[in-house]
This record gives sequence, C-alpha cells and structure tokens, in this order.
Amino acid sequence: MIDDLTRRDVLKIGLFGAAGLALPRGVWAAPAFRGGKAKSVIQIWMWGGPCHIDTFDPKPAAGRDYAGPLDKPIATNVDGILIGQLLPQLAKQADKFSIIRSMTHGNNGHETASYITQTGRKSGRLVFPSVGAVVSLFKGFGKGYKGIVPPYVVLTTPQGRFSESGFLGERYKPFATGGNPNQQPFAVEGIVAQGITDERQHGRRELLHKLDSLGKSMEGNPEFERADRAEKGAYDLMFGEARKLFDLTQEKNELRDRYGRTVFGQSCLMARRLVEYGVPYITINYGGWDTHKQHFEIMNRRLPEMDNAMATLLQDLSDRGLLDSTVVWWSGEFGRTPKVQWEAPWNGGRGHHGACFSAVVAGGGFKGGRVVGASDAKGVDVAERHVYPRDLIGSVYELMGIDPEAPLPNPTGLDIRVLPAKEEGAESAGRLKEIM
Amino acid sequence: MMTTALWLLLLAPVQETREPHVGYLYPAGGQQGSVVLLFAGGQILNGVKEVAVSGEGVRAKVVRYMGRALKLNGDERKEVIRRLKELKEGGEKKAPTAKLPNHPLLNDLEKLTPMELEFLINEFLKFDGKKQINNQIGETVLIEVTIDANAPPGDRELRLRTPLGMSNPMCFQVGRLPEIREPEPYNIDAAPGAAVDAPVTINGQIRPGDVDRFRIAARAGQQLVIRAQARHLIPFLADAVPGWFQATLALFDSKGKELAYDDDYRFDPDPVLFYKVPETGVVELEIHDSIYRGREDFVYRISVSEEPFVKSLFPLGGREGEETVASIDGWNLSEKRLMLDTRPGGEAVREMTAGPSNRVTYAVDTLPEILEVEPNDTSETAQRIDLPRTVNGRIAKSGDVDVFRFHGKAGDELVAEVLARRLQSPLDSLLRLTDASGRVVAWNDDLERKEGDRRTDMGAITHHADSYLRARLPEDGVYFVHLVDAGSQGGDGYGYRLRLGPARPDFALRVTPATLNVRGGVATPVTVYVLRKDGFDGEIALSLKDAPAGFALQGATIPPGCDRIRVTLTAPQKPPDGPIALRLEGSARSMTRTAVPCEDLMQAFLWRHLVPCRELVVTVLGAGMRPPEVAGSLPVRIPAGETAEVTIRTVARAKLDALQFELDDPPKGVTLQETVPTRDGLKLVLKADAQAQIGSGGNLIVKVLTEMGGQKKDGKPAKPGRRVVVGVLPAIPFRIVERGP
Repeated sequence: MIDDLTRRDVLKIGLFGAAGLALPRGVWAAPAFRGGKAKSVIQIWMWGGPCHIDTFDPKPAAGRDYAGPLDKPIATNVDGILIGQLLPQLAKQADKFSIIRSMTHGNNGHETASYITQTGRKSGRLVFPSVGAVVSLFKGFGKGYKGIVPPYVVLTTPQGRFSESGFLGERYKPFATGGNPNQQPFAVEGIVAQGITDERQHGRRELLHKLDSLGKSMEGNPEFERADRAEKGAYDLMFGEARKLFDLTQEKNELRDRYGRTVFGQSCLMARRLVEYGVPYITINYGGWDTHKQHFEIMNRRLPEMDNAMATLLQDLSDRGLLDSTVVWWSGEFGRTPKVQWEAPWNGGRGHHGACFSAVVAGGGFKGGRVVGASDAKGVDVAERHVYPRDLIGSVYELMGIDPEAPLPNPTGLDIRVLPAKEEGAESAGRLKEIM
Repeated sequence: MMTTALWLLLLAPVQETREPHVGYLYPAGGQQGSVVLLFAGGQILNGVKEVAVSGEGVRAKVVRYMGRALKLNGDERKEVIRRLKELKEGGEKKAPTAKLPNHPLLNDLEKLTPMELEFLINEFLKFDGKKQINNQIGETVLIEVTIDANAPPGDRELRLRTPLGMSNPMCFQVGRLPEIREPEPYNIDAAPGAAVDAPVTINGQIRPGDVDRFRIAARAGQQLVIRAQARHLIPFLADAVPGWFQATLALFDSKGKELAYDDDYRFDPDPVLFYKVPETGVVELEIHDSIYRGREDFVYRISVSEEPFVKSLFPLGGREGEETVASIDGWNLSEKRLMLDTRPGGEAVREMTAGPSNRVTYAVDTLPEILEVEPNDTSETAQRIDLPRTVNGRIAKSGDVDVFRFHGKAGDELVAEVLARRLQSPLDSLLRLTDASGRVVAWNDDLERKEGDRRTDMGAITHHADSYLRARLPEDGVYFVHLVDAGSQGGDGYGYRLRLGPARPDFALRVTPATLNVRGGVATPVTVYVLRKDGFDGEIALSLKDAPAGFALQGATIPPGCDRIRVTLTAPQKPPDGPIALRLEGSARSMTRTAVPCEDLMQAFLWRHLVPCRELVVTVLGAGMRPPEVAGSLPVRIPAGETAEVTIRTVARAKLDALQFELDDPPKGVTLQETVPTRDGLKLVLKADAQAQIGSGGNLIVKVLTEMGGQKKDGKPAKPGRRVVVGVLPAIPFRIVERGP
C-alpha cells in the first residue's frame, strides 16, 4: 500500500508538516496543547448510518414527507432540547450529553464515509488509522496501559469495511470479541470457547505440544518463540482475569435487565466493565441502521432498544463516577435522507445522507445538556456551525490527552500528524470548544 | 371545503408514491409471429386495464391482475391442493374443507391458464426459505402479447395502464429465434431435461441461489454464439449491490468439463460465449448470478445460435453524406464489410446491424475525416494533420501511442474529443496535449459529465472512459496530441474517433421522467438536464414539437449556464383519447435539439443514471378546469436582499387559506415569505437573501399542500392533521437582480 504512494501524495503529505508550522493560529493550527482528563472512550458506532431526524434532530414541522409518522418529538430534562419520540429514556439523561446537529462531510458511500468519520481524513492511497488505533497507540501498551486485554476492543464484530489500524499495522488493530454478550457464556473469541470444557481445552493444548515436532527441532528460532509467547498470552486470556472480565453473570440481574437483554444492551454493560478495567478505547459496533426499506418499522423496533441501553449506560457510568473520565461518542458514518423515499422500491425508506447528520457526545470532559450547531428546517444541510469529523475526532483526542499535532509514526517516514492538515484536503471548522 | 376540493381537482392529486410501477417482465420477449404470455411484476398495479407497447406490430392485453402472493395457512394450502387435484382428475365436486382467502387466483381456480397455475403453485404452495418479500415487485399481472410475423425485431417499451396512470417502461424484445421458457425447477440439482436445438432463445429467472442449466444439442462444426441479456433488460437495480443482475455463463460437456466461461463481454456486464463445437453431442449451458443472488427481477434471455456477431468495426463512423464502408470482424460474418448509413439528418451516434447480427454503434460527423497512419508513436514520427479533422484510428497493441501534430496560434482554442467507449470500443482513452518542448498543456483521462450525482450523457455505461479536453494554446507553434489506452491495453478492436479542432458550441437535452400521468389543466413538474458542449453557455428555449392543442410548458426558458431546470407541463382540460407521445425540443441560436426522454434510475443505493427511453408518454387521467396562471411580467425579478411579488390567477379563489404553499427544492437563498389570497387568486411574496448570486435564475416550483385527518374539538382543530402534497403551481421563472437605488 505504501509503495503505491504517488509522488504527489508524498509531496502533499511531506510538505504539510513544514507548511503547518507557518500556518496562522486558528482552525488549522491549534493552540498549545493541554491534555484532558478522559481515560476511556466508548464509541457507539451506528453502522449503516442512523437517521438524524428520527433520533436527535427531529423536524416535525417539515411535514410527513420528512418526519414520516415520527412527528412528535419529546421534551428532555434540559429546557428547550427536544429529541425523537422513540428516545424517552435518553430524554431523561439529556443533561449528560450534547447533541451535534451539524456534522457534515458530504460523502454518501458507506466505506468512504466510515473512513472519513473515523479518521477525519479523506480517503487516499495511504490508509490512516482510525481513532481507536490512534488512542491505542498513545494510551495502550507501553504508554501506561497494563491490562490483559488489548487496549482497543470492539464489541462484538469487527467494523470490517476498512482497516481500523491503517498504516500503524496489526499491533493496533482492535480486538473484536465475537460472540454474543446476551448469551451465557459470552463466547469471546479466543477467551471463552462455547461448548468446550476447560479440561478439554488444556488437553488440546498438551496434544498440540506433543505433535509440534517442528517447533521442538527449531528451539531458539525467533519466529517460533514469538508464536509461543502469543500462545501463552492467549491462554492467559482464556484462563486468567480476562475470563472474569467478560463474565457478565458477575453483574446483578436487575442491572442487566435495565441495560436490556439484547446484544446491544449487554454490549453497553460490557463496555462499562471494560472502562472500569481501564481499557482506553471500546467500540460497540451496532449495525442495522442502513434502513433503505421499512425504515419506520425498523425505527419502532430498534430505537427503544438503543434508547434503553444507551440511557442506562450514561446513568450507570455517572453512578459509578466514571462518566467524567469516559467519553461516550454516538454516531454513524452519515445520516439518512431527510425526505422519506415513499416511492418504489423503497416504499418508505431513507437513503444515505452525508451532507448533514447528528452525533452525540457525553462525558470525559464534554459538557452535557447542550446542542452544537443546527441543520436547516428539513435537516438537509447544515445551517449553523459546521462540524467536520476532524473537529469531533480532534476534540476526543484532546480530552484523551493526545496532542492532535503530535507526529504519527509511519513506515514512510513522512511528517504525518495525528490530525490531518488543511493541505491534506481535510475540512475543519474548529474543535468543539463550546462543549469542552 | 368545496374550494379545497376544487383545488385538489385543479392540481395533481397523484403523488409520486401512487404511480404504478413495473419492476420486471418475464419472459422479457417473444418471437416474431407468436403469442406470448408473460408476467409483469410491480407495485400499485391494481385495476390494470391496458398494455401499451412501443413500435409497430406488437399488441398486448391484460389477462388477469393476479395481486400479491399469499401466505396460506395449512388448512388453506390443503384445500387449494385438494381442489387442484379435483380439477385435474374431474369427477364430482366435494364440499370445501376450508374457506380460501379472497384473491384473484383463488376465486377463479377453475379458469386458470397453465401460466396462472404455474404461478399459483410456485408462489402459493411451494416453500422457499430463501425467498424475500419485495414490495416493489410484489404484485403480478398476466399479460398476453401478440407479435406480428413482420414486427421489426429489437427492443420495445412496454407500459401498463392503471386507473392511476401509466407505469414506467420496461424492455420487451421482439426476437427472430424460437423461444423456450425455463421450466422451474430446473437447476443444477435437478435431473436434466431434453436437449433443445439451436437456434433458440431461452428465457429464465434467477431466484436466490439459483443455478439454471439447459441441455443444448450441438453439431460438430457449429460456431455457436451464446449471448445472455440480463443487465440489458433491466439496466439498474436500486436496492442491490452490484446494481444489476450480474449474470455468468458457462458451457460444459457431457462429462462436466468446462468448455467456455464468461461473466461479461468487454465492458458490458452481459456475458457472451463463442464456442466452436468439436463433435456432435449435448452440451450444458449454465447461468447464475456472479454472487448467487436472485429474485423475480433477475430475468434473462439467452440466445444460442450461429447468427453473426460483430466484435469490431473500423472506422467507427464517417462523414455525414459520404459513402463509408467499415470493415467488420467477428463470428459467423458472411460479409467483412458494412456500409454505414451516413445520411444527413440522423443522430450523431447511430446503430445498425450486419444482417441479423448484434447491434453495432458508430458516429456520423460533419468534419473532414482522416485515417490514422502508423508509425506515429512519438513526437518525431507524429502524424501531421490540418485542423479541424476527425481522425479514425486504433490503439493497435499494448503500449501503442498515437501522436498527431498540428500548428496552432496563440489564443486559439483546441478541442480534442475521443469517441470510443460510447461506440462500444474497449479503448479506455487518455489524451495529452503537449507543446513542441514536450510540456503538457492539458490532459484528460475520462470526461464525466454529471448533474449532481446523476450521470447524464451515457445512459447505462458506468465507466465514462472517453477523454475530452479543451485548451487555449499559449503561443504560436507546433503542438502534439497523444492518445493512449489508460490501462496499456490494445488490439484491432480498440478503435476510436478523435475530433480535433476549434470548439463547436452545442448542447443536448434530457428530460425525465419518461412517463407522465397528469390531470387535465394541471401543472406537473418535469426535469430537463442540459449537456453543454464545447463551452456553449447560452439560453435555451424549450417547446413542445407538434403537440396536440392544450399541452403547454411553463418556465420554458433555460437561463444561460443552467444545467438543470424544472419546468411544468400542463395538459389540455379535456383529456385526449389514450396516451400521447410528446416531443420536447430546445432551441438556441440556430440549433434545435430534441430532448431525449429518460428514466432516472438508481444503481446500488447510490448512483443515479438517466437511462434513455424511446418515448415521452403522457397520460391525461381526467378532465380538469382552467389551470392557474402566473400573471405579470416574467421572469419575476427578485432584488438580492429584497422581496418580489408574483400573482397566480385562478378560478378557485375562495378559501385559499385552507391550502398551504411551499417552495419545492428551491435554489439557495430564495424563500417564499408569504402567501396572500387576492381578488384574482393568490399573491406570493418571494425573497432572495443578500448573498444570492446576481444574474442567477431558473424556475421556482411551488408545492400545494393540504392538511388531512386533523382532529377537531368544539369545532376547532385540537390536533394537526397530516400535511399532504396535492400538486404544484405552474413553474415561476425568476432572476436575481441587483438591488435598486
């Protein structure tokens, strides 16, 4: 991939470092870095693109062609903030989160929009790491994190459509748990094997060692030693404290019920446990929001599930004193077309919409009970205060104590920084200082 | 309330969501001189009464509206099976064991045709765990099509007419060959049936996971051309990735050995196999989707024959009015030469066949033509040409570079345009213009004209591979135009036409949708796209050519530089008999161009394409009243930062406040501030914000809405009703002007 860099790419990236030094202070050259107090991020990744106007940016006045049947937004516990009618539990937690109603990047393709949303950069030939991988780089192993589970965990399936670690490589890829936290046991990939007893698993390992004649004959080979270390690490995960960490039966049934006995509900609970454990970056990969058809049926079915779990997560983190040190970030790769597609073949669906969408942030230094920016009367375009992915990501880095201007090590040896520079083509309207 | 009702009548109560829609025809064609029964699958087809087929020699009628497939419970299923057995075996009728649901097929079991029985068995009685519900193709209509023996072969457009109007067009093909229909289930798991003789056209449908196989009797020495058409029949699927049925074809011998395979023919997703039969026997032909998807609209037609197939022709066109003979290459060609029709007056890009061959595409232009002469791979060996010229050449082998040299003067404008992909050439061109020192003055890989995200100039082609550049020459001297294949491919088939010369400002028009259902006297929005060529930036006047009295356009002037405009069309108050094919033209300077009717189709959830259709069909659904009119001097001049008023004259003046008015998709910075009922009708107050671009303009489309179903308490509304769009006002032309002193 690196080999494919064009001369132009190299010049562009290489020059911006030098040029950036000369940039005037403002949007592009951030003020001197002062680290934040957040220790962890829980990213609720609404894979597929959730509808902004049916969730956190309702538009009842736009009429049926826009609001559909969800035209009765509800008040929250913050005066003047209304959210979608299917989010009554979150309405009671609105003082804990802020809504960004002016997210934009303008891209309507899942893959590219995901890349932009999670890297803050436009796609090019060099594949950059996602936020989780960058946090893992600066806050993971060797940077103070000593946990037994990797510093970047995805519940439960990998995001898949792009390389999360980019040029940082395998070491910074997320650990995707697999399995289903709503089942007992939660069969975490490589940690809890469903249907296999511990004895049988140990027996398998012994048998493997007996059969490993090649390994025995190559003692001292660094590759084999590396494999042995990896195996030992894996078994430590399987039979050590990691197993307890992923054992949700250690939580009270009442609390588990409050989160909701769903994959997402129990993933939120699991995320809280990982935060308690000290994992710096957790993504809940919450798919199913690509609602081209049967949009409102899906909203009616899924938003209550999301509402319940996310509201409980915020309350639970707050109750345990963790919210101040944990950023909760809710967003998809884009929003959905505000105008309902009543025509065939959609018959009441919504398409992709990157021109304007919503994100929600809470905790870790983000203020609650605020609304950032505004969309226009129909939720089609940003009306006030554009927020680009770079701005949101930069704010998260800042709160996590990661200098957005810090160099990002890369195999090309180019002067690449954590946040993209203007010369790389990234758009920015400034970090979210108004809620930090 | 009466007045509101009057407005409802005056406007277009047909919402977008209530348009009849057809998603597939199966089979999607028939042989000349035959009567074909076919299924049309779609939505909002209830009450379908007529079938319209474009062109001569084909008539069609509705046999039965078959509704949606029902999910029967166990008792109902048993009862249907019992009655079908009873019908098959005859004898005394027994009392029903269960009451059947009300359904057009179940109500009429005794009279069902074999096709209807097949449908009933497949859709009602067989369990298919992979079947998905797709509302957009959930309703089925059985149609009978009669094809005259002398009906010209080729593509037709078939539309269904329901009480809500005419549907979108679907491709129906008239063929020469005998036809068979896939006898489902007949796939890889099923026992093979009897071998069919070539020539034959096979019709089938691919359901989820389907692999269809057919046994073909082949004779030693036959040169079989096996050509699938799937993407051609339904160019784009909005809700599938890839955004069409991507068929693969494979041919096997009797032992299962693969003899030939293809998943596309060059850049065309529809595969073609060429196979010379070594010995007499039976071969098996297999078709499936490349990733094993499927549903009812995965329809295919495969022709198996020894008909001629032209793979390439050269040159790819000729000068208008000059005799041009192209050499052709391919399979089963009795002639290696093809006389091109270059008569004046036709389209710039034309199609023809070599006897019963596939259709080939070529271009006709007015410029003098020359042939490329090798060697011309470098600036030193460049072919000298005078401008303007159309060069006919080919990138004959991998790595070939064709270089042309000409003298230019400082300030001259040069246009270099490649026509290759648009003429079915596999060439993916790349153009460079250099000066004598080798400095690149301009270059272009692909010209991709688009309006928003709609591809407007190439229909179903998704890779816009033809290059185009327009450059001002910096100084007097020698210049070189270099043409290569961007992928370093080449071959005899990699032909091109390269236009070199000064700009020839011109334009083309597209109009969508291609099917309009309107009420008499009512305005209906129509979108016109402008493809401006070689820098043409002028105003274009739209008009209806030879339209019956009463049809009119509003907002029919396309302002300078505008690439997309929405106009409105009104139909006569008294509806004409049957649908009308309208022709929309645009005139600018001395040029008049016909707008190509197009369907605005979506590919794979994202991209939109304007796919050309044969006709712009307008159906007038009922009598209306005198339409509202935009009064006063037009265009309405709105000063930036200020307001302007416009009056809509109408006969329905009472209780206008029961209706709401909104701008639909307005340009940035223009808003509707106020709507005031007046003695004449309605006054609209329009505002342009201070930043609005002076000189910009177009048409404003005003939606009319009404509130339905609000709850009333003590005579006053307690709960707002649902706002429903009932139509639009005639288009209001506007211009943003400078603020007065």
